[in-house]
Amino acid sequence: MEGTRISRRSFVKAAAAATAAVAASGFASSLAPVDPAKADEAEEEQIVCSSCRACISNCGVLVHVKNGRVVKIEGDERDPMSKGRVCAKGLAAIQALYNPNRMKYPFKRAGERGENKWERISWKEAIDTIADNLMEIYEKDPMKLVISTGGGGNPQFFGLHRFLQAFGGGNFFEPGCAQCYLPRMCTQPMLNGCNDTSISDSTVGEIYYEDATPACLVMWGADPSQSHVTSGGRAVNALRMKGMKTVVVDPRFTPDAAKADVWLPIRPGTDVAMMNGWIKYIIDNDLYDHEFVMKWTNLPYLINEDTMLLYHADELGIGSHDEYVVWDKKTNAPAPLPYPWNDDLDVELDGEFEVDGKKSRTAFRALVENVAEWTLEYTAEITWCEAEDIKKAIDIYVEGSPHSGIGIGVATDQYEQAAQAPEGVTIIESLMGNYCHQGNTIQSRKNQSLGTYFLFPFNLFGPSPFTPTEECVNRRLGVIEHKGLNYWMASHIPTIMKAVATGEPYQPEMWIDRSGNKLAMVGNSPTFLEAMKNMKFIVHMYMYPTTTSVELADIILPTAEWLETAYGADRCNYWFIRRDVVHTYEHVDETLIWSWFVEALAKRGHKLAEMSFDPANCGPAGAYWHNYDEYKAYLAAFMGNSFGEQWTWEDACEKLPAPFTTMQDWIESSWDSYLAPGEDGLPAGFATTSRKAEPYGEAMTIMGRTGGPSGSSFWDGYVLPPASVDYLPLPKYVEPAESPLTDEAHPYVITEGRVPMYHHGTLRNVPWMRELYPVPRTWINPETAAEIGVEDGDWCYIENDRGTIQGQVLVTKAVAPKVIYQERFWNPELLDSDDPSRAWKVMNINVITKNDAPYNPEYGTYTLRGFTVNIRKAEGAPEGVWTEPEQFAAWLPEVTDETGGGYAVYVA
Amino acid sequence: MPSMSRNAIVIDLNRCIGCYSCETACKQENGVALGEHWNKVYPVGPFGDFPHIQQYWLPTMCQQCENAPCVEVCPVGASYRDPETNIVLINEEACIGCLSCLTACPYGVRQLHAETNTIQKCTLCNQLTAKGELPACVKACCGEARFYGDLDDPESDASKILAQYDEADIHRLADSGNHPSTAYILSPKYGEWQSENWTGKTE
Repeated sequence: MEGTRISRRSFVKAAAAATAAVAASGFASSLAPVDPAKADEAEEEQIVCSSCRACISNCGVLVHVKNGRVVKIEGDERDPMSKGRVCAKGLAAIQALYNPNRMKYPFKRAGERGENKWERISWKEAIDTIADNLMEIYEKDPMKLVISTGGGGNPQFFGLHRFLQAFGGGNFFEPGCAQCYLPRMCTQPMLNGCNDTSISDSTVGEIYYEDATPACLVMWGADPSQSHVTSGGRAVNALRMKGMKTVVVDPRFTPDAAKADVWLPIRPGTDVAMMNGWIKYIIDNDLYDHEFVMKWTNLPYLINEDTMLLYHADELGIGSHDEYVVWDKKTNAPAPLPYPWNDDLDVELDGEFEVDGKKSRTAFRALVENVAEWTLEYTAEITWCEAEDIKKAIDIYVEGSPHSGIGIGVATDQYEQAAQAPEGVTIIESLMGNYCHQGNTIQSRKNQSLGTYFLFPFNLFGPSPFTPTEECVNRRLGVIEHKGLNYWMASHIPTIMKAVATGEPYQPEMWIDRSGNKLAMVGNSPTFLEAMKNMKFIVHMYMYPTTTSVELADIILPTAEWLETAYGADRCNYWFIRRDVVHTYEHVDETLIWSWFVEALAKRGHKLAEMSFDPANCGPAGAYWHNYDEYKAYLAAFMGNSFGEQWTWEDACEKLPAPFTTMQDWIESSWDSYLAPGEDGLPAGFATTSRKAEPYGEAMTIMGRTGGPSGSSFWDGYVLPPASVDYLPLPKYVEPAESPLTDEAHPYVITEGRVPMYHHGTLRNVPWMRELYPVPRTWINPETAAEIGVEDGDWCYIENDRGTIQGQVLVTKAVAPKVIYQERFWNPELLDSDDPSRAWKVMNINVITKNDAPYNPEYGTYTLRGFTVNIRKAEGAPEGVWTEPEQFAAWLPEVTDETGGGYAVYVA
Repeated sequence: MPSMSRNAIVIDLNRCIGCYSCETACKQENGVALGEHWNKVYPVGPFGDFPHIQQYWLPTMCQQCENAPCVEVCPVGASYRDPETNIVLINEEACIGCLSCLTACPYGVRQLHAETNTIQKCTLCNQLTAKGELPACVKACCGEARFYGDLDDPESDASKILAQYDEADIHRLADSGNHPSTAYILSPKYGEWQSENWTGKTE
């Protein structure tokens, strides 16, 4: 057994040595240097087609390889989304891949947690130790296992759900989820029966279609130019140049805001107020699409006011359960409405009637009443925007309808109203009939996001031997209260923390974490750290040491950079392939690591684990993999299937990238698809219970009472106990719990948002990126800066009752007075200091974010944006933080040869 | 016979989304050292009255002056105009690091490379353009804002984008007789041009 002891300062020393070697070879650039021993070999440069994973976008790239080393990355012009462009993060991949601080080998803790002392171990020892612990937990109670991913760095999200199902229980979380994408990704399709409209997380296909230009795109808390630079950012920009009007609703003056026809600098946390203002204006001024609202939404349907649900005709004894109930003006009575419509009826859209001896409003009337107070003036007052600007924004959007679209971004996912914002968007789009027409963000595209995630949990295709038991679903921490989490089979982070800290309702004991740096990414991370210290056994796997490794891990495992992993990605009508171009040190693709855990469990007599290697038990999700070649064979077969062919991995490498259909068919098959005949010969409608768009969100209410919109839990069909509060069918504005309107001690409201150099917690150790953006900038309006007494370039403290962090002041009109912006940050350079904890503390906004109640009822979302802080001037930068380009030289690439990765030293 | 071509980069600031891909692409292609830049993007603004403000991003690099002061002042002929391509280049072998050109350049786009004590700058990626490829920054640009080509050839990408705009939308950095070739497009809708006195000396 090799026992390489790494002392606290060894990362810096190793890095310094590497830099010296580079200089000695005469290669003074910041590129990956060629091994001097191989420099004279005249090997041809090879170009390998691949797919980037520096963020979640998967842009097509051409990787230049020479002498077994990656020497250059370019965009691939065939990619219909990126068109051959490549962003700074993608280009940073070489410096990430060959970073001297790669994890390199498995390690086990050699001192106390937090001491940063490690001993190198073999993959075999690591897997055996972890499997022994897993087996012990499994025998006690599988729910005591917690696993997590997310936070950037090419996580394979569904691989974790798959693992838990082979394990037979446990809790899954990721810091995004309820705080990123889930609220939109679950709510929007549930209510619009089509898709979500996140440009950065999904493929909003319409913006990549060059043959037709949407009339208007509203980027609501979305900044594709910063979050999805090469694909969404590029495409939106191109459409803008072709005349597409744009509206940006964002506290931050992003590049998209700078180019928009109207920018609404909304106060963080007030999106639902703004949406209700839009709805009222559209209704009051009779701007809505009467035909669509009447015939293709559930707004004419009558509400059972006792249940908040829409009447079905059988409840009133006037028809079948499949029929909803409308008010017929001809007979002045309720009437059943057969799908899709009955021309004999004269349906009242807006009214309150007596039905079954009780008051009953149409859903439209309930909507009108829900927004009654939201005049433009009141909306302006609450949102800190100008009424004239709000009016102008709505007018542009309305004028473009039904060829407009709203793309809603992550901003609204990050506070208490996470579900209400996508509900509001659904209502606005439903009023304007922006469904499945050219230019809409809401489309019904069968092959949408075909291959973004094709590593499946076993239960995704129906009942399976691995389907979680009802008891297991019920015991997921926090999900009965926040049922939307079950859509991602996830648990509620604050409830996990409470369980770990108190043992209630049971004591989680083991945590396996993949990806990112949880202490930089989880809300109010000091409380998270304290809770997680109670875990008996913690495994952290990532490409680099992070503060989560240092503070908490007992074993750390070295995962692969995206250039070392195999996968595939659909890009509109194209399949792209990600190829494992090189393998360095003992890095391993996380998918194989989870497979190795399962295999080790099988060897220890774990029945489910054993079964998961037999394809007969696994259905379309496929069996677990013994080695990387088996895994790649699975990927190739899945991708080949899109072409009606049987492929090996070699076939896939040879044939991809390639289109599986034409762009025109891919795009236009959605247009008017709801009017085309469905399987029963009637118009297909939308994929909701009513087959109509459901701006009256009773599906949310049903989910809260049972588990899902159809009356039982997502995926598994269990009827779960109701949440303690009802999820409301219409979005009501709730003032943020910490409001600048009332918090005199903390008069400023803060928000976050992406910069184009980083994805979540990644790349803070990449010289090219840190040189561009060395420290987080604290954006402060000049008026506010004067009030506080800070100037551009000063350092400041940002503080509240949860903690104090620092940032470097940028005095700018890009935020409103009283609004502060700062992006997430952590400082890998401090890992090697005397106090490695400072690496996640000194500039990390998540030290001061809020992870306690109130939560979003539907998803359990805590507050990352729109909370209050105070700002004061600091004397300087936090000690030891690197700010100058030459300091980052310690992280320049070091010579690394092909090793075969961890696969070469471990056979399961 | 010297070529009559006038190769340059034209940047449509209406399209630039401030993503800094060009800076990183330049570093990758040309191995530019940390702290040194052959191509650097500066945010300009926001300016105007909140909330009706404007902002644009100004990518800067060697402006390929027609009367290049750097060539004129170089005591050893290291800064020169390539007779084949007409591009202003530096012969690093000959450069003595005297900094004369650095001082003479009105735009601060030349770099003293610390390692060799010689001057470096944007070469329009002539290692690529000589092969018929585009400069790295042009290829990478996520805003599709950068255009390369011969300004005297109406069929070049650079000329074609300029032809799409009125003269009032086409700007150049301050010209004191050196006649920079690089042109910037900025229409009033996306921003009032603020960079007529740009010297590159301030951030």
